[in-house]
Amino acid sequence: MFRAKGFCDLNIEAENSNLKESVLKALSLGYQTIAINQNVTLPSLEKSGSKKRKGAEEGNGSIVPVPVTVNLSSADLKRYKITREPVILTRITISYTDPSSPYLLKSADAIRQYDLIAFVPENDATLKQVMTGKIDVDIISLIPNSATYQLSRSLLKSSMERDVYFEIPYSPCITDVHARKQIIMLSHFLHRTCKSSNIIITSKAKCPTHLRYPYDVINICQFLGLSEIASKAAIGTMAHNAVYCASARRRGVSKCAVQITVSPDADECKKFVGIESAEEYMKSYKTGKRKLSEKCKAKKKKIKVDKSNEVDDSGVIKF
Amino acid sequence: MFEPNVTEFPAPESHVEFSYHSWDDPKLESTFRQLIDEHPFNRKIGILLPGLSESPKEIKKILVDDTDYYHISELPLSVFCTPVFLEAFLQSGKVYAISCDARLDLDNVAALTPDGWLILLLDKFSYQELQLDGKLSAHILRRPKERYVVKVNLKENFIPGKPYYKKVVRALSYVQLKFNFWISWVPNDAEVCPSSIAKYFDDEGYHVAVRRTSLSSSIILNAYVPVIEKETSDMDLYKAEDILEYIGCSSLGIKLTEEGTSVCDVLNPKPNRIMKSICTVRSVGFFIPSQSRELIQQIRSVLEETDEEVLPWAAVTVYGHIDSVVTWNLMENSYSVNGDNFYTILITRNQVWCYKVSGPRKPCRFFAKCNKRI
Amino acid sequence: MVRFKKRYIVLEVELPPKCKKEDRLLYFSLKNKIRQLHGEYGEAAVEKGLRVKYVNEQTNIAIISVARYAFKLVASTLPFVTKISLKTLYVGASFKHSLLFIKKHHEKTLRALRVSESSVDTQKT
Repeated sequence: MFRAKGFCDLNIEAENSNLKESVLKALSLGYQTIAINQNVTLPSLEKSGSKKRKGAEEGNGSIVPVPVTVNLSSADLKRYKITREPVILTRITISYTDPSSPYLLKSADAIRQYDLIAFVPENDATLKQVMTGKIDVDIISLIPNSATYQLSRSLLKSSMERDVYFEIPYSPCITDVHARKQIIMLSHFLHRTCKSSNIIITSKAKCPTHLRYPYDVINICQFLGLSEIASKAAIGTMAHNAVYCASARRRGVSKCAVQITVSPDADECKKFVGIESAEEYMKSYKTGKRKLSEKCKAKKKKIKVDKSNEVDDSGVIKF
Repeated sequence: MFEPNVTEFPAPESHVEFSYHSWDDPKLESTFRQLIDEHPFNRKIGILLPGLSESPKEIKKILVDDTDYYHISELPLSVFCTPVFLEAFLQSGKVYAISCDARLDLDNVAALTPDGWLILLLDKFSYQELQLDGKLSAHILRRPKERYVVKVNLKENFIPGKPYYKKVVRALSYVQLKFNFWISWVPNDAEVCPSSIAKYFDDEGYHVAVRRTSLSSSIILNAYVPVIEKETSDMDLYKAEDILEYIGCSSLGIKLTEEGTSVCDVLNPKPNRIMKSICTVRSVGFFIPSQSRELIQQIRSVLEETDEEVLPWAAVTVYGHIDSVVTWNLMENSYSVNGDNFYTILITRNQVWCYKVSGPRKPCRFFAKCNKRI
Repeated sequence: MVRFKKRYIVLEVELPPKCKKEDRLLYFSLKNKIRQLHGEYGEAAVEKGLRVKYVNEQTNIAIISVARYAFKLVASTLPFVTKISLKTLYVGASFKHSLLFIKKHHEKTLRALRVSESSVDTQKT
């Protein structure tokens, strides 16, 4: 179980010009939680021929790469004057077009190695699959071209109820004119439909120069229709929640075992060793309780009887 | 439909309160109490003395003598609840303790005020483990409900052995909340040494370090100094604001001009006159309200000793700790882009001007209608 | 489902002579001016909802629709459009109301015309 701390940047591309340096730069800027992202595109069945499909089946594991990790020595941290303990996560971004793609099932175990799972739905069908919870999703990163799909309010709400977060990257905003326009439009759209709730701001940085200081990111968010506090939540608490929900999903339903220890100075008959005898003890305790409750009922009955007597008496007096 | 705000980009909220008094005004005492005494955690003091080339020794002495404070690392909060601590320090004096090296907007923070309030600002997970009642912080969004304020009064109805005491101690010892603290203690009994609190924690086995207040001063030569009239009958509020700006600029060492330049557009307030030098004194430490009171009295006596031509007025600015949980009167501090909380007191021979600068106070509820679930 | 709120601006346009595809001309000249004045951000904010709904070259009247939140951005650029001279007549919250306004506007202008014609007639007789 891991928890995010401090400011979060949940998307630093692994295909980076210099991955280690950009991670270190992000940490030195004030981020504490960082996710290293790997992109995977699932091939669609319809386009690829039957021969190709066979080939893909053979190389089953090759579709999903092994998580990339960065080893940071204490000397590195010292060099960049990082005092807080960094939390480095792994993240996979899967973009796919076919909702019935077999690779999703086949490589499910490989996908589960990652701490965060993000999906890029490329058409309406996949969008619906992602939103309605047919597959495990932590983060949905929408294609910033709003003409791609028809997003409805009910779909967004259903995904919000399952604590799925939407990602808005800011580094394409910095570099590309067209992308900037699209991202502003997308974020305005999200604001209109769901009040910009469940939004996290990530960098999607491909080189260290694209990273920005967290308080500057808050200023960028003014463009994206977020208020000052909301934008702070988007790189802080919302991202914490996203990481927490993801790790809870990975762990599944929580089960617990109870260990019963009886203090040695208790009575001889209450000493039990191991879970089996403890169960016996619990059973005996339960039956004892039942007996007790029966006794209580009996007492109540007695009282009732007494009362009825009184009523009778009073009736006698009345008569 | 919830529409994005496309045309309005409001600046971060900030409040300035201003009041002025003569020295024999009966309301002055209550203003000082509200301004100085109710602001417990002060980090930095800046003094502006126009006309002097060197800061007087008496002022330096107040800032340096007996202003040591203690840095205690990794102190669990349950220590504050031990019967020995309660009796020896909390009941017989004023304890000022605040967590340092923790950011108000992201980390857990804690403070122990002189009134005996233990105030914690916790994230959701720590709060749920803690099992103590708390309120939602005013400066977060409605959803996710992420930060909570927990207040425990350690002075009233907090008697060892009673159920409430047991509950608090169990909660604080169950969750290992550890903070680095700055601590200073003012005993009620003047004969007891204030450093005994450090000895107590040292004996308990915590790492205690003594921190001294640092002192630095600088001089601006041949600068304009605004003239403050003796009459206070018709006070211009714009002028008061200009002078606050002037004090801020001068304490940073900026020389203001008569005409605005391309670099700095802040003008020198009028009427003004040229003085040979302006002396600024800066001191960083952990100051308690009684020290700043003493300092103001000292500056007043310095003013009275010197000639008006030499030293027309003086200004003291006391900066609160940026990451402190509370500001004036246990009000919750907020840190959205900055965590400003400071006050400036301008002293002349017959009047006092008080400025109080604080951050946003409005609770930020973005999702007003979504209160249904956590 | 909540409605996407819009504002409809009724304009009096003076189109250049022998003009084809008036709606496109109006749209792009407006959009170019928005890019000049409010930059890429303004363009992106306006994009959703900015449509030329109706242009009539005979009566010289046009209706454009804007998203409500971006109304100020568009309304502030209207005076700066130089290719076509524009004059704001009415801002309405629905298309129906702006059409009603146009009807009333035409009636008013017609009545004024008739009065002037009749005055001319009386002068003749």
